Parts: sequence; structure tokens; C-alpha cells
Amino acid sequence: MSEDAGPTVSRRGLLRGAAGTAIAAGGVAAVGTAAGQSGVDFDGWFSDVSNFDGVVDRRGQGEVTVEVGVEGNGDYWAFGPAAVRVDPGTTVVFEWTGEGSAHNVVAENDGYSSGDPVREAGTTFEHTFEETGISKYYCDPHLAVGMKGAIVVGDMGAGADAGGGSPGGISLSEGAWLLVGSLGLAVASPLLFAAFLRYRRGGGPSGPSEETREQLQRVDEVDQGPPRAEEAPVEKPETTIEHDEYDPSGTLSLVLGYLVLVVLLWVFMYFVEFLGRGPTVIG
Amino acid sequence: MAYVDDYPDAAKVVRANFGVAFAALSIGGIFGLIQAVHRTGFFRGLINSTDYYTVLTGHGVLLALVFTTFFIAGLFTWGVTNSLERSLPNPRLTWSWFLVMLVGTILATVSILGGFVPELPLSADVLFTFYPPLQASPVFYVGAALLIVGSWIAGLDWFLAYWGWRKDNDGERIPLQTFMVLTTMIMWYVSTVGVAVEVVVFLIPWSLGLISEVDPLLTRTLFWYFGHPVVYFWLMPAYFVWYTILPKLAGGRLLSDTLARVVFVLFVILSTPVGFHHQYVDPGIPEGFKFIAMTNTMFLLLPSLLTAFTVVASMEHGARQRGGKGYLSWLWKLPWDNPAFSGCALAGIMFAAGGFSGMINAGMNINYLIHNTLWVPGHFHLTVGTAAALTFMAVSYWLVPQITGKRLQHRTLATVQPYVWFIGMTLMSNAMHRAGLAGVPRRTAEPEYNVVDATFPNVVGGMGEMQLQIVLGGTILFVALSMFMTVMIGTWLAERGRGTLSVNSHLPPALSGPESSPRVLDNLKLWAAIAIVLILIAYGPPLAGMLGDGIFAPGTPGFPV
Amino acid sequence: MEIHRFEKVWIAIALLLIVGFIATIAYGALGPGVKMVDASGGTIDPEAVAAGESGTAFDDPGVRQTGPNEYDVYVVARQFQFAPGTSQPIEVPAGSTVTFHITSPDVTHGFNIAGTNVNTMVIPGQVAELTVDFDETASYGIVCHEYCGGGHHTMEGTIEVVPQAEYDGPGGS
Ligand code: HEM
Ligand SMILES: [Cu+2]
Ligand SMILES: [Cu+2]
Repeated sequence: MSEDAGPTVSRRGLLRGAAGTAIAAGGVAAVGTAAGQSGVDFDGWFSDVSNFDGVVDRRGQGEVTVEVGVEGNGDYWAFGPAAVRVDPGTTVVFEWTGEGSAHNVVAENDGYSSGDPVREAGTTFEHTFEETGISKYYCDPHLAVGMKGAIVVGDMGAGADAGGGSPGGISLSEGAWLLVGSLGLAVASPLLFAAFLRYRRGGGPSGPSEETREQLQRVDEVDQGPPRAEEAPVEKPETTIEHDEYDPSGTLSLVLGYLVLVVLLWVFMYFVEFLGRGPTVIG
Repeated sequence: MAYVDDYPDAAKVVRANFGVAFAALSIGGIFGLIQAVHRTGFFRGLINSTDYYTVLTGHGVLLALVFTTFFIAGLFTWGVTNSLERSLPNPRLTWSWFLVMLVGTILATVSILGGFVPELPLSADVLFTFYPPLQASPVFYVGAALLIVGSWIAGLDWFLAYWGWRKDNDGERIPLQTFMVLTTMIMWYVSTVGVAVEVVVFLIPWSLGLISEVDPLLTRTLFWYFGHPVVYFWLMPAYFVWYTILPKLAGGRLLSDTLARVVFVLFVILSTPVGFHHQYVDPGIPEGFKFIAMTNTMFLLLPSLLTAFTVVASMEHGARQRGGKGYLSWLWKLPWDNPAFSGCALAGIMFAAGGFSGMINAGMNINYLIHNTLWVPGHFHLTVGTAAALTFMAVSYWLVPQITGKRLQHRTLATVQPYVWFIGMTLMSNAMHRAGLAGVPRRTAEPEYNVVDATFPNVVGGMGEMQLQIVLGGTILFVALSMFMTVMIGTWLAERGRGTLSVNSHLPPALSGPESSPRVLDNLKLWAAIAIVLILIAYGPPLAGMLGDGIFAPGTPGFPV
Repeated sequence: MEIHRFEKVWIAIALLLIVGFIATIAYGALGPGVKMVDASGGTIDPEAVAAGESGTAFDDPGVRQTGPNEYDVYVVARQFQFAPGTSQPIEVPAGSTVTFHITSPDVTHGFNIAGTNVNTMVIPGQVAELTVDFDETASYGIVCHEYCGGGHHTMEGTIEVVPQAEYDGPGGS
């Protein structure tokens, strides 16, 4: 077991650094497959399983336990461990943790199934694996989020590192950091820009605009005390219209136009889009 | 002399509130862009689909709750001091509500962002509606509660200022801006009771493990008791701007003080007993209660339809005073090159469109057609996302120079910004509405079918065309937001008190002033009492029904996300 | 009180519009008979549903025939699956009247037969009950339209309305 874990972890360390770049380059990080690796080929089965961390070796035990509902895939939607290696004839006991809502265990080839999903902690389901090979299974309600597992029966591909996973779990974390970083940058960018503007205004040769400079001079001449803001002059109307001489005829025509539009759209939406379409609740 | 010199303390408070609001707006806007590209399948490399809900929670909370609340707190602080012509009574009280709101915001934000880092125990991927039994970290609920409590203290602060003014001005009419602030806050007090009970009585103890179960329907109902008035809490400040500032920007005067007051009173009375219209398709609520909520909701259209008339007529007045003639050609005389004006006016136009899709939402049985589809975000990006948000941005172009004493910078950028927002929103929102009619759900990282073999039915325009418009619109909106932020930060960092501000603060009186409006309109106690009676009628029986089997039953434990 | 006569005209029209809307909705309820989901499904203990021990048809969800051309469909919507609906389609014959009974053992979900007006929330503790006429042969997608957790976007299903002649009875669960 430890022989397996060692190299896996260190390779992941490398991936961790690369993942950020890969994601930035177009989100290709999730493609990491077993191509070119020795060991067990899961054929992409674990590509979206965040808690997959190599094949855990449990050979030499007559009974092996796999937990149903361990942390992973964004919640308690994972099998723990996701992949185990057992000897032929071993009984695997699936034991429910009670976390992450209702789960079940269904073989990909329909060879076994625990039945309808249940949540109850302590629920168990057993299956004895006689034939050598890979037996893939999943949780029906959480298949789409990556709640998948596999039992490797026998010695096939043993000794070598069992690849086939992807940095799914890492990419989540990396993506998060990337997001936080870009957020920070995005929030800071107008600040930096403004600081730059200010710096330029303060010392740079371009300085304030012609207009502002004139005003500055004017203000400087008059103003000795603390700076005071001076408001723009009040706009004088061309003509003054009082209440009794004002008929908002344009407004009336606009709102009546709106009214007609609303009534037409209402009729269309209610009688064509709503009542005119497919089954409706009638009881 | 500008506001900053007259009321330096209040100006500081307004600046602090705007600062938090704009920071929330920036982060929320980035999240919006991420959502637009992710859910359309355009680019999913930045986040994975489980983290989409972290982003969406951040977007909803930061924009709909934080940005709005802080901006409104700043705007109302300005409105009260400006119209009462006195500063707030107690600076310590003022800063205390700001700090309470700020701490609440930081707690909530940190717990949401914690969702990105699986190693941390914090997370709150519950969206801004936080329906149990989805369960967030207690930090999130405490943060939300503090934000609301802070807003309560802020309201008290404004009431205290008003009572102080009243002592010196016995028998006078409440100045219009203060009247609008006080009525909005009455509505807010009455309606936030629902969410406060939900959070404090149920969610905080439940997330701490002190109680094991909550009733999902009951807590949901408490949320929506608050959830509809909150949209008026966003909208009434926009109306405040449209009634009291926009006419001046257009070069005219408000047509009628009376009708402005009537509209706000109608909001106080009718905003809360309508919450069930968000639960038209909820099981467990008898149809009769839904019908009552529907009729109330429809009558709640009245104040908005009145507003449409009064506000447009006030703009027309301005245009005619500027020499406008003819039936509609006066429209060209409006100052479309002044971003404060054009932003408000474009926001109003979009609100007319959003008003229509809101009428469909309100239509009880026709709600089956669009409930929880993308139509709904299409709708509220026109209302809170534009009618409120674009108005807030527009009024900032006018107000920020006054509260900072600094001339507005990057004027060209500011001048085009409202138009850029308008174009972006037109693209994004119309496509969202149409995709909703095809049944495309909202709040979904990957709205296409992946697990089963099915497709969405065809509607006008193909799915690809709609996706493209959403991405394009979202991007343009983000550009508009960046333009706004550049102008604001540039102005903020500009030099103080040099040269004339490009704005002036003079607000002309209404054409038909308060002297000709009935005094009973100013009787705030009366309207509050009527509102409470209507709420008891609309909510008493259904709540009694839900509580009948015990307050925690039928109960469920939490599902942490 | 000074109110411009145009504004009075507008108030009258606005009220008329509002009454018109309410009348349309009342027509939809009384004429075509559109009913809102209501409390008729009653309440249920979500944990009992989760354990499969509710003592109701939800312990063995699926399609049941209740009369000539009448069917009951019991659906359990759970994170992230409709049972039935996701693993196997819900199958009903064309020309039948189908009553859906839907509940959730965990969090709040949605149930929308996309492109139709069959749309409800699924709230733990409550049973949503909706009766629908399926007149024509069709194949629909079902979406969960309420966020229900990190795998929400994978929660989908299908419903097949097959020709009467091809329908071989409710297949059970
Ligand atoms: C840069 C501009 C914006 C973009 C690109 C954008 C984009 C989006 C998108 C695509 C969604 C739908 C997500 C889904 O249902 O899956 C959404 C939801 C939402 N947006 Fe925006 N938005 C923007 C600005 C705003 C503003 C200014 C507000 C309000 C002040 C706002 C409030 C909301 C709310 C409340 C939701 C719903 C969240 C939920 O369902 O929980 N957005 N936005
Ligand atoms: Cu599962
Ligand atoms: Cu869902």
C-alpha cells in the first residue's frame, strides 16, 4: 500500500504546479489519463472522481470494507477507498456512513446491486469477488458527480503504480486559487489604474487637462483656506412652465402605447404560450 | 459649497457605504461573468460545476443583498440629511450601524468564499435564498443576521434625525426625500421580521446543532414573507431617485408631490402580504391563499404604473422647459449626454420591460410556464439588476462628486457607460427570457441534459443563438461595470476641492407641492398599522396551518453544502 | 389635491388593466380548469421516506394504474435522481390522466416537465400532487429546477408518453 502511495503523491505534487497553468491554458487539466502508464488501466473510469488516489492494496485479507459516503466529489459523495485490490474469493463489505444523502452500490456490468438508495448509517451490502479482473461500480444517484469505485481482483498490473486518475480533486483546489487570484487582480486593477493616473497627475509631465489647470489657477488665487468644492451653476430653463399650463400629452401617449403593448403581449403569453401549449396541471 | 463641506461627517458615512457597495459590485460582477460563460457551456475551465454554486451564492449575496443594502444606506443617509438640512444626531450610532453591517458582510462573504477551499471547514453554498435543509456554516447565518440588524439601526438613526427635526418644525410637512426614506424603512422593519425569525430562531440554532430539525416549508415561507418586500427595498430607493433627482437632471420639476407620497404609502401597505406569489407552485399551501396573494400582487402594480406616468411627465416637463416641442420630439431635448440622466432614463425603460415579465410571474397559473426557469433571472436583471443597479450607478455620477468634493473623472467613459450596460442587458435578458420559455432551468451549472437522453423543445431562436447572446451580453455588462468602477475610483482618488464640481445639488420643488396634498399621507403610524393588519390577514391562517403540527415538523436534519 | 386630468385617466386605465389581469387568471382557473398545486397531497415524514419506511407508495415508487386510463405516479426526488425518471423513464400511455405524487427525502428539489406547464416544487415533508392529461404521444425531459446541492445539474429524467397499443402496463418500480 505504502509503495503505491509514495510515487503517486510525488507525481501529484508536480501536477499541482502544472495544473494552474493547464487550466489557464484552456481547462485541459482534466484529461490526465492512464495513457503511457503501466499498472491498471481503468479506461477513464476515475477521470471525474476526486478522491481516487491509486489502488489500495488489501490482498491477503478475507474480508475487506469499503465505506459508502466518504468525503469527496464536492460532498460526501465518494467510496472510500475508491479503488482496492483484493485476492480472488474475497468478500467486500460496503458499509454506509450515513453522510451525503442516500446511496447505493451498482455494478457497472449489472453483476450486483444493493438495490434502492438508502441513507441509514451502518447499512451494509456484501459481495464476494471470485473472478480476477476489474469490477467497476457506482452510486446511482451520484454517478454524475463522480461517485464511482472499482475492485481490482487478483494481481493484474500489481507492483507498478496504478494510474488512471486525474487531478480532478486538485483541479478543484487549483481552480479555486486561480479564481481567488484573478478576483484579487480584477478588483485591484482599477485601483492600480487609478493610482497610476494619480501618480501621473502628481509628477508626470502630462499633468491635469487644460481645463482643469485653468480652474486650479483660479481656485488657487481665491482660496487660501482648506479646499472647498464649488458646485456647477444651476441650469436655467429656457422657458418656465408652471403646473396649470402644463399638459403632459407626450407622456400620456407614451404610457398608452406601453399599455397597448402590454395588453397584446399578455394575451399572447396567456392564450398562446401558456394555454396553447402541452399538458397543464388540472387537478 | 457642496454637501461634503456642509455635512462632512455624514459625507464620510455616505462614502464608506458607497465604498463597500462598489467593492461588492465589482466582485459580484466578476462572478456574473463567470456564470454567464459557464452555464452556457462557453468556457468551463475556470471553475468546476460544483463550485458554480459557490460563485452563484457569492453573486446573489454580494449584489442583491450587500451592494444594494450598503448603497441604499449611503443614499438614504444623504437623502435624510440633505432634505432635513441637519446632520445625523449621533455619529457614534451612525458608525456603529455601519460597522455591524460591515462585520456581517465580511462574515457572510468569507464563509461563502470558503466554499472554494475544500480544506476549510467554512462553506455556504446555499444561494442567496438559503432554503433549508441545505445548510450553511453558522458563520454565514450570523453574518446575514448582522447585516439586517445593522440596517435596522440605520433606520433608527434616520428616524432619530427626523424626530429631532420634528421638534423644531412642528406642523410642517415631512420633506419628500425624508418621507420616502421613512416609509421605505417602515416597510423594511415590518418585512425583515420574517427573515429575522427564520435565521435567529431556526437556522442559527440548527446550524450549531442546538436543534436537530427544521420544517422546510415553514422556513421557506418565512423567507418569502421577507423576499418580496426586499425587492421593493431595492426598488423604492430607485424610485426615490426618479422622483426627487431625475426631474431636476432632466431640467424640469416633479409633477406631483401628492402622487409621490401616495405611491410610497401604497408600497408600505401592499408589499408584504404578497409573498406567496413566490410560492405559487409550492405544495402544502392551499390555493385560496395563493389567490389572495395574486390579487394583492396585481394591485401592487398600481404604484408602479403611477410612477411611470409621474416620472415620465416630469421628464417631459424638463424637456419642454428646455425648449422641447411636439408630441414626442421633445424626447431629443433631454440631456442624453449626461450619464446621471441617461442612466436613470435607460434604467426606467428597462424597468418597463421587466415590469411586463413581472406581470407574467405574478399571474398565478401562468406562473407554471416560467417558474424557476431562466426567465426569472431574465426578469430580475431588468428590475434589481438594472432598474435599481443602473440607477444607483447613474446617481453616483451626480452624488459622488458632492460627497467627495471631487470633480467627476473620465467623463467620456461615464457618458457612454449607461448605454453599454443597456446594450449588454438587452442581449442577456431577452435571451434568458426566451430560454426560460423553452424550459431551461435557472441556478444550474450545466443546463443541458447530460444524464438522460432528452432535449429542450424548440422556441423562437435556437439554443445556440440564445447562449451566444447571454455570453455576449454578460461580457458587455462586465465591461460596463469596469467602466463604472474606473470612473468611480478615478474620481475618488482625484484631488479634493479643486475647481468646480461638474454637478450642482439644487433640487427644485414639485410643480404641485406638498401644500396641496392631504396631510393624512404623512401619518406614518396609520399606514404602518394598516400594513400590519393586512399582513395578519394574509399570513395568519396559512402560518397557523403550518404551525399546527408543531413548529419543527415535518422536520428534516441539515444537509451541509 | 391637485391631480392632473391625464393622470386621473391613467389611474382609471391602470385599475382596469389590473382587473383585466385578475379576470384572465380567474378564467384560466374556471375555463380550462388550471389548478394550482396545493395542500391536498398532505405531509409526510421525510426521514421515513429516506428509510423506505413511510408506509406509503413512496416506499416503492413508480406507476400504478388506478382506473381505465387513469394512473398514479409516485416519484421520489432525491439528491440527484428522480425515482423513477432518471434510471428508467416514467412511462404512461397517451390519452391517460396521470396524477403525480412527488416528495423528497432530503432537500428541496424542483420537478418540471420541460416545455410543458407541469412544474412544481418538491419540498421535504410535503407531497406535491398534480393531475395532468397526456393526450398525445411524446417524449419529455424532466429537470430539477431548484438547486439541491453540488450535483444539481445532473438531476434529470425523462417521461415517455407511448401509444396506447404499445403500453404494456405499469412496470412497477
Ligand atoms: C456583470 C453583470 C452581470 C452578469 C453577467 C450577471 C449574470 C448572471 C447570470 C448568468 C445569472 C444566472 C445564474 C443561474 O441561474 O444559473 C445571474 C443570477 C443572478 N444575478 Fe446577475 N449578473 C450581473 C449583474 C447583476 C446585478 C447588478 C445584480 C443585482 C444587483 C444581479 C443579481 C443576480 C441575482 C440575485 C441572481 C440570482 C442568483 C440565484 O439564483 O441565486 N446580477 N446573474
Ligand atoms: Cu451517492
Ligand atoms: Cu436539483
